[in-house]
Amino acid sequence: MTDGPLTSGERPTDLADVVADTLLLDALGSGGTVPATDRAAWMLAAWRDDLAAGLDELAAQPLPVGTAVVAQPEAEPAGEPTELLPVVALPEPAPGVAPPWHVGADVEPATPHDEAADALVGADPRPGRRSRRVVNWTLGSAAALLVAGTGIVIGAGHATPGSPLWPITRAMYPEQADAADTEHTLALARLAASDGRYDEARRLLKRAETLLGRVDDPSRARRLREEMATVTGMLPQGAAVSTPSATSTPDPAGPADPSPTAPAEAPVPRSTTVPPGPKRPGGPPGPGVPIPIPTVTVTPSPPHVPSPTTQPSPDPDPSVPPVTLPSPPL
Amino acid sequence: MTVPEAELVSRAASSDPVATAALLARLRPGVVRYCRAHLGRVGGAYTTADDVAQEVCLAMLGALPRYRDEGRPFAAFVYRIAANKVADAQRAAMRHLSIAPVDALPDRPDLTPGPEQQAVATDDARRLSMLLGKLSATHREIIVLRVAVGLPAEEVGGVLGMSAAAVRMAQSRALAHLRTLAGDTLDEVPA
Repeated sequence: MTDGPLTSGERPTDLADVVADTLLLDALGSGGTVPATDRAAWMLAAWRDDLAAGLDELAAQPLPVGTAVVAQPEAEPAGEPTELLPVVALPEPAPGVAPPWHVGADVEPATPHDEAADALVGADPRPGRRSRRVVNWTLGSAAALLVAGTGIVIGAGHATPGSPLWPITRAMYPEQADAADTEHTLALARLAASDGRYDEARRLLKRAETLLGRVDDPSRARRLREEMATVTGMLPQGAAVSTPSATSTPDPAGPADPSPTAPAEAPVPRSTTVPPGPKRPGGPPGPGVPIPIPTVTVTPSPPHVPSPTTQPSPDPDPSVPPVTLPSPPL
Repeated sequence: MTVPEAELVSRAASSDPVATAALLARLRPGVVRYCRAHLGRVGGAYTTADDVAQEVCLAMLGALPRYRDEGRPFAAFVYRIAANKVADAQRAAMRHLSIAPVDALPDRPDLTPGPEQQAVATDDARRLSMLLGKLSATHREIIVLRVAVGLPAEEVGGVLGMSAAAVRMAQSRALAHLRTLAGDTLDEVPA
């Protein structure tokens, strides 16, 4: 099973051995199988597989720095970071100029029972543990702080689709990315609304609406919905929150009927000259209004053509659209 | 995953966000395996090693804009950062050992079996991890980079400052040594 006892030098004398070993290591490195007769190779393969255990799940997890920054403020009990402060301060008293790799990794052995507990529950440690470790780094290392700063950018929603780390957010924590994206879009919508660019604001609101549908975290989604309602309230004819806002654009020619149940006349003129209506910050949009139906599309169509909606057109709709009516009411 | 790494690196170094994300996604598994290979399980789990791996990734991202100026192969760039981080973690564990010897964990891979199924599944892995500790530092690093990370000999040479031919010779010696050791452990502790 072994290749025989080699002398202490263990020099491969044969070039063929070198080639064979190279091929073997290439196979091992690329996840291939190895001959069962080679005990060492077999162990190497087992070792390699063990090292990769749970790696897929790990890759799906957010980078801890993101967890720290995004989830920390609300999720972390106040006592935990302070509890670890002295430990962190011990190994790295001067984090200001420390090289990035000088971090408080020696904090880890201080909590062996935690690690054992992690082992019991499997490769996926509880989020709290994880973020506490993250706190250690963040406190102990200037680099971690630096990168955490970048993480704050992501978490705070300043990570626009143009910022350098944005795609990392997208790739590593899509859920947070959706929330941040929604937040960002809402911020843009708010800006547009306060600048009087109402069409753009509506478009952004609609986009935020779609994005919001992917946010699973209930509390975050609720906050975002409230913000969306606020921004919607900034628009003229804010009544449109229960249905997609774009369908009730102020039409200079049409009757400005803010009725939320029948927005079917809904022509969307691409008018930049619409006089901004009075702001209605606390208007009809109630905070409990569910997510509006996101499938309605903004169509810069002529004023007399109603935009297609998924809602069956109610009876009082005066103008029957020629082609674009989706389906007659049931 | 079809974009060549060199192009990804160059785009990421010039702050192309998409390339940065793709590069990170591509490198992260190897970095995790590298740290796990060197740091082993602590208390039966890889969490410590994984944390160090995160530090490596973050440090790599932070240093990326400066990468172009250094003119080294990218694997060398990444795995030298990784080697530094791992060494620091081991030193830190050692330091902790001297401060609190009672509760301290060894900086070597922890060989105590974790949960039962894990122990069974990783028996060979544990044993190999132990054998690696008996290799010279260079041989160990070569094995880790070749097998755990999966780098070709040329890139390992870039990391270690050796020629690819020298890596191939050294890896054969390392393997031969491992085979001897594996035979020994077989004799001592029949599986």
